[in-house]
Amino acid sequence: MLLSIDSVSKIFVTDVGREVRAIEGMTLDCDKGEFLCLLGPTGCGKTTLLRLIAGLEEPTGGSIIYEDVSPESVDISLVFQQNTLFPWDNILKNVMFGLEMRGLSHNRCREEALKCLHLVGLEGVEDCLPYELSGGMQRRAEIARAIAFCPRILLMDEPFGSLDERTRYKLEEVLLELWQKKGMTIIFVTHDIEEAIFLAGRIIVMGGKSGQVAEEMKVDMPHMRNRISEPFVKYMLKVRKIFETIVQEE
Amino acid sequence: MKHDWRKNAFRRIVPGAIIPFFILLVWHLASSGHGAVIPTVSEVVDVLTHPFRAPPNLDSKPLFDSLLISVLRVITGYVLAGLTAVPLGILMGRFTKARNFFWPVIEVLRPICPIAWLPIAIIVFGFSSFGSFFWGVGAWRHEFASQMQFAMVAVIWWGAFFPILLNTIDGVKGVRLLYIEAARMLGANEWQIFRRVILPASLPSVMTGMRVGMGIAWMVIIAAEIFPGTRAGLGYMITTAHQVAEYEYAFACIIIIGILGFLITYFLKCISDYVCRWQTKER
Repeated sequence: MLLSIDSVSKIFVTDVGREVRAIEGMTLDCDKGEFLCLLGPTGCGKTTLLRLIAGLEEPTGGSIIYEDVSPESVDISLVFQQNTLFPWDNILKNVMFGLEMRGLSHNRCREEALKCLHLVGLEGVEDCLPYELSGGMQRRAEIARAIAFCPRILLMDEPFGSLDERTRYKLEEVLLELWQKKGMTIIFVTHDIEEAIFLAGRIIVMGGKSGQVAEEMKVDMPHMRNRISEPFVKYMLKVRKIFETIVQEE
Repeated sequence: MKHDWRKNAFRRIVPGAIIPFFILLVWHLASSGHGAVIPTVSEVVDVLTHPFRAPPNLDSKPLFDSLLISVLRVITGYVLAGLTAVPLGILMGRFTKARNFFWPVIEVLRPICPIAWLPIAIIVFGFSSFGSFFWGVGAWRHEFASQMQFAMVAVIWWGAFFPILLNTIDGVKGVRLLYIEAARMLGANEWQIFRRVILPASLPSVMTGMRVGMGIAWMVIIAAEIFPGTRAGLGYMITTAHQVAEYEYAFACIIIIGILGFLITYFLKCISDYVCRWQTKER
């Protein structure tokens, strides 16, 4: 077990003193090298869970146990939902950022950064400022930045949500290639069923509120998966049925 | 190509030149003829084209020297304001405790117009100046240095300090939390976050504060020089010119003030645009 989440809960207190129970009693395990998908509707606590794993928030109850990896040692990387490329640095400097923080020499940083940009399919844009790139290219650059220093765990919070379908498909393939090449563990949050089934080795379907785990299922197909093949569609039906039951229970 | 360039320049300069042209026309008409009170255009131009000439009936330095003195006072006060306001602004923007500590004092002092302090400044500093400190530096340098009165510089400082401070605070406070979190996830420690995220992100606001501060500083110096307490500077030259009815000197000073103010703020804008060139499209 690379990561073990044990009965974790997170309660936010708003300015007016109201309690918001973002997550309650969530238990989850994550294996080394797996591609885990958290699938659920907006507001079910997925982002909060990711932030807890990343170390940006502290759990109110329960614990998160990491095995030979910890948020402080920069082994965990997070790709946010929104664009967080630094607008004042060009693409190359952005991607070099994580490497520079680890104290590598300038030339090494440059080398690794260029390699990463190549891996995500971005070439020739090193000197551009983020605003000069399209949305899809910015997301690629952001992924390159997140993996440049080879984190053990990559957390992704609906990274392709704002993109059109074709760009999304392309980036999903890019992501899978990266995953296979670098061998990292990926925890991917999304509300898109097709995306989850295309990417994940294991899907955790979350309920409507407070991070309840509705169901856990493995997706047993070789990559790259064919979205219009029969097994794929069967998985989609399965997940849709789970969603139906969740909605009915509410 | 050459044809386009000329057409473009024509299109950009001509509309802006229309109003100045009419102003000149009205001025010329109003100043010619008997019983005219305003100096003629040619009289003022004569003054402007001889900036090194000591004015005959005026107890004042030549135009150029007055200009230099005013500008030096502004720059001294402004740079001091920048050196004090920016660090304090960063402190107050970053740390809530610092903000709560300084805020009440600042909010009470801020509305006080700099000129209001001038009488007190003169009482406190007297006529001591940078010159009286660095005695014996060399004749002409001492001459100018003795015009950099502490009272003047202090008042300029007061005028430029608050805009720079407030804009710096806003800039530092307003850095998107997401950028800071992203940097943290990439392994940056507090100092690295400050250097690589907070500083560049807040720079546009700081530059805005610098530009506003300069605009105010320039207005303050003229007003301060009109006030008794100095014997040099553009503002002083205007009042003295009025006293002996040598209005062409007053007019010339006013024109210089306007042009210089424009040049200084334009210069700052160029710097600001260059430093913040990433910001233009980031809306």
